[in-house]
Amino acid sequence: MSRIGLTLLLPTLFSTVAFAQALPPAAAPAEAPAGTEAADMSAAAEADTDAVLPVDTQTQINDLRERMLDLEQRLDQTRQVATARRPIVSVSGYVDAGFFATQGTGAGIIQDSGAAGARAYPEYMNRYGWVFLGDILSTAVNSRGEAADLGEFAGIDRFDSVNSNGAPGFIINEVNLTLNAALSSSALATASVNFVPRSGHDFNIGDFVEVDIAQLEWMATRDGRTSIFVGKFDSVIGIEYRERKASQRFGITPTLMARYTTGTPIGLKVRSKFLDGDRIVVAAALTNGSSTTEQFHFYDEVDSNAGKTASGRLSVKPAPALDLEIGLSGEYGSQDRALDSLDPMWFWGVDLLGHVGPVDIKAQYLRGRSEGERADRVYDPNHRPYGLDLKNGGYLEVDWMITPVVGVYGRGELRDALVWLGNPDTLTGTGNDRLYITKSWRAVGGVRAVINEHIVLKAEYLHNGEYGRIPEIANDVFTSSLLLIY
Amino acid sequence: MNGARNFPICARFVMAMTVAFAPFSVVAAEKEKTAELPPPTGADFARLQREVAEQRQLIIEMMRVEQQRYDMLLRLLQSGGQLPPTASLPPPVTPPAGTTGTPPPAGTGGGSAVASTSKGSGGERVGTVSGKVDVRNGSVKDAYVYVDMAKGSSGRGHTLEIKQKDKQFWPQTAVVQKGTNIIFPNMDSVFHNVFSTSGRNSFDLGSYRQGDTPRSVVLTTPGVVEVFCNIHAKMNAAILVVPGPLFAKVGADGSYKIDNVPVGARRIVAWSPSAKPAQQKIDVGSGGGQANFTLDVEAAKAHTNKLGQPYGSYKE
Repeated sequence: MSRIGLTLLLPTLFSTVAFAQALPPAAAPAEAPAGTEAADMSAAAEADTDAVLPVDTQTQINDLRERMLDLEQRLDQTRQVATARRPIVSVSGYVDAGFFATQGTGAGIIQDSGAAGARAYPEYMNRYGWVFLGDILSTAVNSRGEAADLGEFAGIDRFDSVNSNGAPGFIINEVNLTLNAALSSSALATASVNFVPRSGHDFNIGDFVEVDIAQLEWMATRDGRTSIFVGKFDSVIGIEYRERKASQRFGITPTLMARYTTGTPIGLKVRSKFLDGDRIVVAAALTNGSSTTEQFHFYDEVDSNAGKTASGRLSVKPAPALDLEIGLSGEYGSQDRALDSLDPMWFWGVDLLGHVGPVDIKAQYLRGRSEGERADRVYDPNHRPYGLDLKNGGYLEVDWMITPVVGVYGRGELRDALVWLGNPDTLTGTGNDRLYITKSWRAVGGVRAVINEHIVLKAEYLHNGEYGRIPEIANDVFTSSLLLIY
Repeated sequence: MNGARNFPICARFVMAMTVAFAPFSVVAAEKEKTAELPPPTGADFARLQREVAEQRQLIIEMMRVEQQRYDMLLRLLQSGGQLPPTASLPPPVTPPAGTTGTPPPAGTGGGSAVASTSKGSGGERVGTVSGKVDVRNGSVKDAYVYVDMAKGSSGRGHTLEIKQKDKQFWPQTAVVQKGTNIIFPNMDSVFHNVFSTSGRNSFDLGSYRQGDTPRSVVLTTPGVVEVFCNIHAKMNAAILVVPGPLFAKVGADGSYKIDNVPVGARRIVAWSPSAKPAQQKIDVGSGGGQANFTLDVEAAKAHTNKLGQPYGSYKE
């Protein structure tokens, strides 16, 4: 050390020693319990125990320490205030606005009419009053699955919510409001309500409100792996119900299978997860009606018969290293809309969900049947059950987030089904009987841009194709969606 | 000794005090503002906690440095102006092994200076604590043993990175010294919202995704910090914040060893995220000490989101 440095340091040192002699030794800190703030202070005090500091320094440190304790106390009090003010109900939801354009009239079906020689399916001539070809919900323009148009057919009165007549246009698809209320640390009440603005007619404003979810979820076990649901809840069939809402869906439109699996029935549901990583999940539900959507032909919000629908799903993740889930699901119950419980309605299917990095793969296969009207029975005109023969239905979808902002997706679909009202063996070509013959395939491609966690833009093109004897229908759709999530 | 070390001590002290008081002026200004502001948010908490942590660390660091400086000057005086070969200014604190994202290997102390001498670097008498940890009612992935109330340098200035990838935290278990800065980069294309409601270490980093600037938090209070994502219920991590550098990871055979434990009555704690912590008080002599533990595995418990609500079950 240089002589100059020593000269500078020595007076300071001597003054320090002099001050130290005048000071009483610092009191030893009391030991504080582990994990408390006192431990910090104690550690600070321990470090201080052997220090010999000038009196003004000691005063300043004491002052600092006191102010720090005040600050910490204020922090604790503020936290308590904030915790006490924490709302019991949290509000979320979204606004889904879009623009769409369709081919043709926007309808996904055409009528098979005229002379037998002009018909695609002459064998149904004189057996049903109306025979329609195609898929009535194929021209979906939004995540609700609403068709651009249901078509104009004499004698058929339907609630055509979009009713675009083939014109391109802007649309507010849905305004969703979701309320979550923690009734306890293991009970959550959820209500999801959709506000749907639509064109009115006959002095009616046309807008409607739809209660989508109204459920209580109780986590019955301490580990939270078993939940019991009561109310109006998501179905247990397949996997598409998980992303049926616009804010959850990677793309825009639902698949051709969604009408069978993404309804929200009313009843009781139980779900349990087993093994490490939830490798086995079992879900079962007992509900009024099936898991079909309300805008399709089969749905009972409030049951009109005593027979309930039992449904279930078993999913397995075969290997922990693979992010892959394989599911088997099905349901069985009285057919919807019927006044009696004599005839069944059922679905079964398999599904697959895999993740490979930023790529999601989703697939599902489904079959189902509902008997419809029997020839030997008379039905209430307001409770006539539709018949269904879903011979084959399925889809394969690949979603890829190329960057955190931009993603693309593609989907291939198939639906081979018959839906009918009335029984041709008893009612031959008269009355309200109708038949829908669907042999459809669909190719969907789209892009999404996640601007931030509150704004998502999507654009999608649906090419609807027909096969078999059904002629090609001009029913492609371009649609887009701007999601404002709150 | 270099020129910087010759800088007058009183001037250094004034500088240290200036730095120490600076946050108080910020806090005072904030206090005036908050009188008219709405109820505090998670960000307010985080800021307030950071300020408290900075205050605390500044005081502790300042006192530690000053004490060592006085010690050095005394030795200098006693040696007649000649510094002994070992004398130097307080060395920079070396991060413990656990703060690299990889827990320290079994049998080594978490601190930077691991030596089997009977005296620590500060000249105090130290010993080695060792023992075995058994597990009852199941198995645990990671277990640690640490010396509670251990005097030593904080983790201020150290960082640990916990990644969010494939909707999981990596690593899911970590041990850090108090004052360590934990950075949470999001490697997923989806948004995550990292938060904790663990007492004074509670924080809420808000939502961000891959490519966004990773957000971080300084953990200042010893204890267990449970970390979750507000969006994905299955994401969880546990961070043990220890008061000092004296900790070790339990080896596969259940053994552990912590060196440089100051002699005297010490509380030794065994911890694993999936078990109930076990602790015992032992007398550490210069010959060391022995502490064996049995950890009881606890059943997993559901957690709530940052609003204290159970997670909706179908949103993942």
